[in-house]
Amino acid sequence: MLEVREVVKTYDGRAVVNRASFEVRPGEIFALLGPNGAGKTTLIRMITDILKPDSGTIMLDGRPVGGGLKHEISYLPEERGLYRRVPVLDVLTYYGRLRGLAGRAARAEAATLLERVGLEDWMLKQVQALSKGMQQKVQLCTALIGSPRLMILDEPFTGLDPLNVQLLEEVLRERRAAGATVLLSTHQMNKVEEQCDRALMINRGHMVLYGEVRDLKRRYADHALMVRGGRLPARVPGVRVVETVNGELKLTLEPEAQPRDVLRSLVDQGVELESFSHSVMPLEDIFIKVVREGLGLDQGQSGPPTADEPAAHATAQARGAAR
Amino acid sequence: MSLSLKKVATIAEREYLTTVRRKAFLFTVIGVPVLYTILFTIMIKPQMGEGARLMKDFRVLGLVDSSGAFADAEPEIRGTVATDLSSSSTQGSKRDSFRVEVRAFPNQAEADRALRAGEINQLLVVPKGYLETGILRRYVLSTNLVSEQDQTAVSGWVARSLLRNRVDPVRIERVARPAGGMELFTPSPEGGYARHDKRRELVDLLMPLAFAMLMGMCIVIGGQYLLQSIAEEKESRILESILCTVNAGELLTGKLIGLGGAGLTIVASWIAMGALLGGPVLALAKIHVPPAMLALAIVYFLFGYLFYGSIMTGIGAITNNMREAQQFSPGDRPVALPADGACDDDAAPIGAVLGGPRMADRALDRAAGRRGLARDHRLLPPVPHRPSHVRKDSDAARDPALGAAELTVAFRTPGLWHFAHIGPAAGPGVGVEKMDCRPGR
Repeated sequence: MLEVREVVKTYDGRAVVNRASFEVRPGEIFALLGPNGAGKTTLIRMITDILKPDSGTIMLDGRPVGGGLKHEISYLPEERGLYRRVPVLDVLTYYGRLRGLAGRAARAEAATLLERVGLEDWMLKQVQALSKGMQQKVQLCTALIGSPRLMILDEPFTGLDPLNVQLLEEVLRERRAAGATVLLSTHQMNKVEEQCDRALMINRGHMVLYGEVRDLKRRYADHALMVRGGRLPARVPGVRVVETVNGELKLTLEPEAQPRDVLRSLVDQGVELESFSHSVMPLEDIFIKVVREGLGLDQGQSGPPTADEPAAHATAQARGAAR
Repeated sequence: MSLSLKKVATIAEREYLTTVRRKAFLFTVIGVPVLYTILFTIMIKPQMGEGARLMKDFRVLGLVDSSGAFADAEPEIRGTVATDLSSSSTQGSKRDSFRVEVRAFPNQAEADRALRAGEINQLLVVPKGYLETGILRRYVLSTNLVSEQDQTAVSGWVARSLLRNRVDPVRIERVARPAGGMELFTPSPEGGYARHDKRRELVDLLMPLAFAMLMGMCIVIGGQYLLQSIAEEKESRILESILCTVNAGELLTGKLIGLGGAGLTIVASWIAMGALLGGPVLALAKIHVPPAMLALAIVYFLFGYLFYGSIMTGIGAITNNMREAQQFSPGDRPVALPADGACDDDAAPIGAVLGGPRMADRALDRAAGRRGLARDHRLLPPVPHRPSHVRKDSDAARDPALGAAELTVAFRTPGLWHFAHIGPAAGPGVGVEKMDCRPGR
């Protein structure tokens, strides 16, 4: 679907995006993560053909972005606005027509979308009459109208109440089921864990994490087990430390110990277990850890990780930073 | 950069409809002509028929004749005067007749008393050597800037009086108005000559001027709409989401077309309203505009609009909001400004530099030295200085060199002070908002 290869963008001699290479697969929800100032917005602007990269290529279905493919992409920027003195329906119809819909079809789809997000009673009102949350939903509709194949949403959850967050999640799932691809840029890591298939994290223009979300979490998982159940014996073979975390017991294992051996040992010793799972680090903790370790990154020090070896690359960078 | 005509058309349509549906647009279309009609009426109406009013009030002319040439002068001035604007023409205008009594006085002192007492309206003094020198003196208590009908009437009376009883009355009348009935013939489109129509000449002169002004206004209005539209989209963060779907060329082309159309609509409405109200006059004027001229007008308009619109687009593109766009000045500061040129026509204008006290100081030194003036200047208040390494701040409130920069300079020439006050710039392309030079003690 979207293929970004060795893309570089430099401002005043500073690489804001440094050799970014990744791909977004058709029908997936892809997370673009990174701390503030990491280069996410610059990268998105290059994908949307608002900015041109200094070098590298950005292809959509094998063709360079821009030109005839512009209507295939929609973008909900983080800093967004609407024409304030125009009726809601007209705003959406305008966006729909720009994405290639005929006037009547654009109007019909705009009305359907407004109904979907619960704004059917407001479609003839001027945008300035809407509350901030309502305007946020209209802005979301501007990204949905015309059924673009790639939707780039920058912090779409900001400013929405829990009900509307749920609504947005449902809409994203619907679009995904209809074949659309979503590139989601957000700082809400729980949403990434819930919604996204794969993720890319960039820090100071460099790619630091890239891959399946569950793989990333697994790679950053502690060598530990989370256990809920009866009283543990004083010593469990293979377990180095036992601590209580949120009502569960966290068993940090010896480096060589295997989880299945520890489980067998517990069962053999007659411990009644209610639950047993790997200890997984939340994505937010991974984010903080990676960003903190990556603060010492030097530009040009590292190349981009491939999808096959993101963790190794990130670890190498972390080591470099520690040095 | 390839342009999708469909997208350009969509943008143009949206820009046009959004603009023409605004209340401000309706006010411009209807309110501005009404306003100008009222202003025009207030300013011009009193001038219409001013000659007739002048002659109506002109009842008595005092005469002090030291030359004796007017011993047989006619005792009154008779004639007619046009009651509309075309007072110079004798053809086809409504005319009022007038009569002015000529009252002789033995000396100027007595006549002057009568003039000041309001017994006579004007006084004509004929010196001794008038016949040799031709010098006459006319005294009035107030002059009329608009009409010289009284002078025309007195001149005719002088001619008639000089010849009275010496030449037959018909010749006297011809001498008094030697070419009053002269008709001017100019080549006609048919190949021969046709009587020259002064009104037509006026129309021929004014119509192109009026159309040029309308065209200019159309260009400026369209350009301003363009600037406003781009600044609004940038300010309200709409531009980025739009630019994801269309490219910059399509967006700006659509805006150029749509907002240029809005400007044209305004001018077309004004012309239509003018034609509706002044249709019969225009029909009488029989205006013939060659098709080639119309085509040329369109070409001029397009190039003019593209030029001005491009400048406005450029300003809109490099500024962040409407306020900044309005403050934008192509020259930017520091700017050399003529400071006291209006005070002294003979002197070269003095340049004062806005941008820093030291710069202004040096400029004033040089200017004073060039003119040999007593250098005694003061700067009130101190001009804010922007260091050279500090770039222009987009927010005028934070930028001293953009904000409250006001400069008061004073020069002294022998016995006379020259003051010049220079305020901050406002509006696109304007370097100086006000410049008030007033001579003091």
